[in-house]
Amino acid sequence: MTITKTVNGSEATLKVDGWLDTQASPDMQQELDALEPGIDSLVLDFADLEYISSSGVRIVVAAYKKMDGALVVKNVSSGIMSIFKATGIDKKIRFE
Amino acid sequence: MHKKPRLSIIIQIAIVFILAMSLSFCAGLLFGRHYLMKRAVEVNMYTANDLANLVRYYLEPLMPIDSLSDEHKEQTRTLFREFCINFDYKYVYLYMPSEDGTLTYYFSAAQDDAMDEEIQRIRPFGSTIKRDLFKDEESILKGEEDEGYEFVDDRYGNVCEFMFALKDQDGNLCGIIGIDDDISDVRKDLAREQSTLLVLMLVYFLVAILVSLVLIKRFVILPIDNLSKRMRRFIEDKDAGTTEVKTIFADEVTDIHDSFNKMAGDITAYVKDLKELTTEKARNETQIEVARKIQRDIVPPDYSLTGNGCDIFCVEKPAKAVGGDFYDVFYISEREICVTVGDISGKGISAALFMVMVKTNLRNYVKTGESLSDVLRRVNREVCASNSQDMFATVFLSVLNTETGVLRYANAGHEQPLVICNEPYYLTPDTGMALGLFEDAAFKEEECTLKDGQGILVYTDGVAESINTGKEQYGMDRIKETVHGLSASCNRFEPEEAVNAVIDSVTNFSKDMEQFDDITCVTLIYRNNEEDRLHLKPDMASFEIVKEKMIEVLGNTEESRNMIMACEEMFCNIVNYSGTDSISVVFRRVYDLFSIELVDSGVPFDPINAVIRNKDFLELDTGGMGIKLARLNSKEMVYNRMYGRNHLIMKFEIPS
Repeated sequence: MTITKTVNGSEATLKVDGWLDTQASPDMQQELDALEPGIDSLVLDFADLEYISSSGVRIVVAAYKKMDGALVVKNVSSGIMSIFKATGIDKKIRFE
Repeated sequence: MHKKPRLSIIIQIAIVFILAMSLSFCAGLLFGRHYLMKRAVEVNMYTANDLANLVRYYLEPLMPIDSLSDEHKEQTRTLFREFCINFDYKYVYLYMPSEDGTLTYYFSAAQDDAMDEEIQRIRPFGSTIKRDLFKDEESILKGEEDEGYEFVDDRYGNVCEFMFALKDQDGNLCGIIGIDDDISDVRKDLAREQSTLLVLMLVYFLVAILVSLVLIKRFVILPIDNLSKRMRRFIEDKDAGTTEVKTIFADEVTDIHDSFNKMAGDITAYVKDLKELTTEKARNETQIEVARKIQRDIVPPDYSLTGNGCDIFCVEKPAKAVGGDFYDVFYISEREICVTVGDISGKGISAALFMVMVKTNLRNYVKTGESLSDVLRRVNREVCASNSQDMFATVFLSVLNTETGVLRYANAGHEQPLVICNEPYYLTPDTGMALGLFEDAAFKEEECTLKDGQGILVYTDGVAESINTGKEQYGMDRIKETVHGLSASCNRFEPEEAVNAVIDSVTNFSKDMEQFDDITCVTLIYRNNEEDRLHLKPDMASFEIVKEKMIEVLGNTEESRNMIMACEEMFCNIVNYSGTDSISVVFRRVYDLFSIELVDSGVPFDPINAVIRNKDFLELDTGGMGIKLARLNSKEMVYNRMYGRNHLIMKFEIPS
């Protein structure tokens, strides 16, 4: 898994590529924790995300809580979307 | 259907009455009139005859008429006039007809003065007229009759003309005495009398019709109406009981009522019986359904076990709702697993009850660790002691040592099991005796040694004795051939594959036939090749090996990645929560199914039946989604807890 971070003013974009599995989740969590205090909205770009496990879904929810809902998830493939739907988080998270 | 116009039966009867009455009136009028006229004429004819005799008496000495002197002629005519007046006839005259219709008048007199004068003028002595002769006139002329009459209506009035022959001493006809009787009064009287009679008859008939209609209505129509109402309201009034019909005599109407009452009673009783029967049947069906469910719990339709050192797959297909076949698979110790297959004589609830007794006894005695022959001997005694229905059970009892591959077995009258290997063959155990027949039956324990990948297939007679439409039995040879066919196509026997191949083959063989016996098939394969098994350290890094294997078999697609995710979730669960010191993983591929068995020696946890609490969205960052995702993204998950280990098999469909 590789994460590319871009900051545009107070909005940060994390582009997550590859496999966000149980082992990779702590790295993702770390990236989230390391966001600068001035950041008040977050974009997760999953265009090249191939795989997500429940630990990855948990981090998406954690990001939502950290940003007080100012979270957008972009470019989700249908396979991963089915996992979001199965867990029910598609009802709260904004997808683009 | 064309709807007929409705007309009450009483109206129909009235119409028939009136028609009949009208017809009889017309007939009465016609025939009555004719008859009465004839009677009137006959009565008057006597009087007229007397007068004719007087005329004869007077004229006979004066014959022949032509030669009468004028004085006699005048006297005779005057006499005729007097006759008219005294005898009250309209005309009296004497004439002579001839065959050509010429009438020659001699004397003519009329009662009425004016008429008499006129008649003297137009019918003087010797005057002639010509007309068609009357029928009676012709008869008299021919000498056939001496008298006759004819009704004549003309300008001289309505008269009955009586005719009497006047003959000379030689009997030759000299003339006809005509006496005309005025009948216009008679006709009037007749008409009056007839109309009086008509009115009387009309009244009589009307009264008769009215009375009969009232009676018919009271004694026929009303009871029928009443009956018709009861028939219409039969269901609503079915508890109202029977009613009596009020008629004086027992007749057809009372018969109908009696028949209806009987029918109503019969139907009510029948419906009541039917209702009771239906309720009873529904109750029985519920009971049977419950029994079936319990039996399905005791002997599940299929069962698979992938244990330490062996793989087992069992299928039971009952012919009826509740069957008598059974199988049982259980561990005696960590190294020994017992496989039992049995068949109870008979089917249905009784067979199922007997089956439970045999199965429970077998399990209990096998667990004591006695030799299998002793187990069968003791169970046989138990069964004989409580077998009032003379049922019996054939049983094949076997115990596999999963370390050595030694299979101990004992037979109680059951089918020979097939040894599964590259060249399958039948075991030939001592036949033994079916349990429940003889208390002192003896059994023999024997043994054989299975090599890795070899196994046995145990079945019930429902397999071997299945028949096709040609009444041919499936037979043991076909079982062997089917299994042999498998060995040619793969290098590793999977029990599920072997059982399904045999069941499919049997089903196909006896297609179009109703399954007449329970079909049970159990396969046990001995596995001691530990190389198939991965022993992994309980951390997530170990999952990389599983992941690679899964990608190898399932490919790396969106679909397969979700399957890997399902497996990762369960693996992660074991790593995080079981406390195990190692995780064994076994991969298996059967047909298009890829199964992964995860075995750990941690705390017992059944993810299949675990209750998952639905968490709120904001709690989801603490987890609780893994099991749900695993269930959703796997084809099936099977869990067993055996000898301190959790066995979780996850099955995935290999994408084509």
